[in-house]
Amino acid sequence: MGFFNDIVDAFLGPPDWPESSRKQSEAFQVQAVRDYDNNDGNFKIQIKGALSVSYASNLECAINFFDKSSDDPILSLYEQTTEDDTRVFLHSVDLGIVKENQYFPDWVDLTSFVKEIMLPPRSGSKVIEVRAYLYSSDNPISFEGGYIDSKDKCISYAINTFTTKFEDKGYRDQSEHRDLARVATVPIAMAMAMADGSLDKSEGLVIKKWIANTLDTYISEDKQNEMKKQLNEALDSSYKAFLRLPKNFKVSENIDSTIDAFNLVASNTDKFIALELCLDVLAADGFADETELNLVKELSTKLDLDYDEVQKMKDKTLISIDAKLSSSDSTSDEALIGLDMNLNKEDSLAFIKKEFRKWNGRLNSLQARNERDNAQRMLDALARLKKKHGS
Amino acid sequence: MSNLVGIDLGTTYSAIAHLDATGRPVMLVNSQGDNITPSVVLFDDQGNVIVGKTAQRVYGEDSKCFGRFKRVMGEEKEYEAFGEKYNATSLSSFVLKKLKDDAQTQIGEISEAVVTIPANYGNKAREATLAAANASGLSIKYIINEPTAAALYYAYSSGEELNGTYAIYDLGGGTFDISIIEIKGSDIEVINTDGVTLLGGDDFDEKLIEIVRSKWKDQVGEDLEPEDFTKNDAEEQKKILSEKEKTSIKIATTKGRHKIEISRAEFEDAISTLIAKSEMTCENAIDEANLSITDINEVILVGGSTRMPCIQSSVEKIFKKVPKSVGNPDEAVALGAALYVAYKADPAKLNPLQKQALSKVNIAEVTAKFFGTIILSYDDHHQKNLLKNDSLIRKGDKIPCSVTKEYQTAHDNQTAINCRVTESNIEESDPDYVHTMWEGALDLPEGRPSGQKVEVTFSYHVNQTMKCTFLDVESGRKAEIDLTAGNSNIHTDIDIDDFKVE
Repeated sequence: MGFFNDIVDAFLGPPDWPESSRKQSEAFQVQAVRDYDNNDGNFKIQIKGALSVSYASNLECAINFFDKSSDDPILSLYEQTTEDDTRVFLHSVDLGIVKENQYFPDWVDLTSFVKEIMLPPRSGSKVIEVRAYLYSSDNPISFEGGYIDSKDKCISYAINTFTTKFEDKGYRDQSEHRDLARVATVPIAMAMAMADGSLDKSEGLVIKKWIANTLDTYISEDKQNEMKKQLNEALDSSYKAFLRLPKNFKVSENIDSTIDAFNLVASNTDKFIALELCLDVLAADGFADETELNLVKELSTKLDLDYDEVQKMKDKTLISIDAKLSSSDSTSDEALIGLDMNLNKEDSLAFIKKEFRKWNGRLNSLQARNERDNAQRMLDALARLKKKHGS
Repeated sequence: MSNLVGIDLGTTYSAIAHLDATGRPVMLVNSQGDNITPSVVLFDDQGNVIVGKTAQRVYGEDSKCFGRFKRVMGEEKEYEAFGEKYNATSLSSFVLKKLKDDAQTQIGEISEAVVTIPANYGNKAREATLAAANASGLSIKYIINEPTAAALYYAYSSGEELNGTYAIYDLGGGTFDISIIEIKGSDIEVINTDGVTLLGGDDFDEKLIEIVRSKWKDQVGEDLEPEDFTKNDAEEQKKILSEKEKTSIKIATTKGRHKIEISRAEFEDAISTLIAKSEMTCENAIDEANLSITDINEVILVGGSTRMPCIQSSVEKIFKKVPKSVGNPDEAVALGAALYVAYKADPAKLNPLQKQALSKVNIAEVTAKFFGTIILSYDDHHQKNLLKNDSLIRKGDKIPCSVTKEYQTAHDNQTAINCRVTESNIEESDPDYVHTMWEGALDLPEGRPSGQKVEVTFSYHVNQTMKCTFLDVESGRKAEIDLTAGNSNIHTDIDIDDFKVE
């Protein structure tokens, strides 16, 4: 694990240096420079100047970053460079024992890091403040949200700026898009519920529970109320939109715009959350209908999700359904297993064989009777498919 | 000289064999003079427990008569007779006791035994089989996979020196197993094993019953009562259809006497999806062994169900060669088990002729499952840490083997690790699809940052036991566990009453 390498090994100034090498001590300073020795994406943090201790102390230097324009802290994607209780970037380097009047006469490398672990509030070209805090390890500073608990504990403090560009969405972008993505998830779940032509009570309750759980993730009451309004409106409008469609409508023909809107704002994680809700809706009535299974397949394609991961999630849903896998004999084995009808005979048989191996291997590990029964039904379906496609 | 026996505890029939004084594996007959004994248990109103042919006659008709319980070995299913509850383990122990008692009247006290199990059995079913054997009073040191036993007998009984790769196709009354083995002279190496737990003659009988019931309803207009066409009747008709193209079944009930005709083609169509399962299992077993069909020199048929012509055709279609039988398919597993018990026994217990016979075989064994542990791992798709099963020992690793992997603690001040040992038939990362064989905590020192090294070592020994160690490197603290890993050397004093369900 080496995202962040501590590289302090520089010489300190007086009192032990010869007179000729002495420089006038400057104030404590910090800067971030590109690390051209390594990758372009790496930065070095350097410090120099007075360390301002009045007696020999074991010093540590902590650094964190802020976005200058918004004064929001930079978060870290790497668990070992965060504050104890938040995701705000924080990294401390032990400088060792420093004597009275000692200082760094020149810039020295404190540490280096990979820019990819930094999560700014927003994407784009940003002026970033690097902040350095000197403190005694006998009297450590605590940080929360990027700010220190006591100025008295800070021996020296320095601040500087550098400019860099962040391509990926920042956490404020993500948060705003996440809210939109949650709202846009509801019509997709409604489409799943309506895939068999009607909204069952059990399906409605699953969506309601999801909305309630989603609202619980918001701390601010105002935000909660705002989201509640939006999510309920999405529920209402998406349901009414389906009611306006002619009888025997096909969900798959009426879902493209819903998915396009969702894709505009949704991250990969948001997409999996939406799919998870759709699978819960599918399982709500205890049956897996062919239209629902086909819609799952269609969603995974249109959301550009990893198919193997979708299969894993679908397997979990199918195996836990209490009643039976299909409510009608008309549900095809192809839909149940997720066999792509466009595959040629050879590829179809290879897929069937692979799925058979998977379910047969799992059968003995499953503990619950209904799970074993469902796994057995999957094996039976695969055997029928083998017969159908193999002859 | 010690009396060592091998037992094939089958779904529909069981058999027992031993190595005779000349070093030949031979069947031991039951008290009725038969080489095989129906695995059926009847409780009569006199308090007697009747096992075998007499019980089989009323199977499906008498509610106190139980069979096919091997299919639920290790599960919680209960059977009730005269207020007492039984499970598959206790019922199996009655079958094993019958085999043991009948054999002892011929060869005297049995000193050691090996019991065979389907290759695809999970750990619970393996443990339950061992418990049944111990409860019957047998001294069990090892269990062996049924196709491995059959392979052993095939290698032993072949008149010529074998050299090549062989498939052992074992389709019995309740389970199907396929083993790919390599034989070079006396060296036998099991390369891969796979199977289907619920696939065998019993399922074919069920399909035949379905056909009969359907035709009956068409002819009579009412449902056929189960006792009017039992599993015994179905088995009998199935055997006829293996010999003839058509069978004519006469059923007499209160609704009159009716004749139902079933053709072999009709029956074969009904069981074709079941056969498809065995075909896919064979293909997967070959793929997993990194072989192709053309690498298989011969296919050996074992188990009573392989007598069915459509099974032989299916095997020929898959392997593109005519399969062979090794002696009586009902007996090969027991005979192989008899060889295995002697092979594993203290040589001092064998006479020179037996030692000479066993010099023809040398088995290199492999692990039958994946063994792993549960770790916390970052999932890219869901962007969060999720529990994941990580395999250490892989299915097919040669025994003995030892694997060490290094992990790290996940949190600051982590004071314990939840250590788990898992098994699975295929390589699985999802903890929901693996069986936890053991779970325990390893306490860690307080006040340390995350990232502390934890070494996990699984060592699978020749005696089929597995030692698992979870070591916190910095403190030296460790959790150690000895597991039976399937083929167990467990010795416990077990009372048959322990297996009656309260």
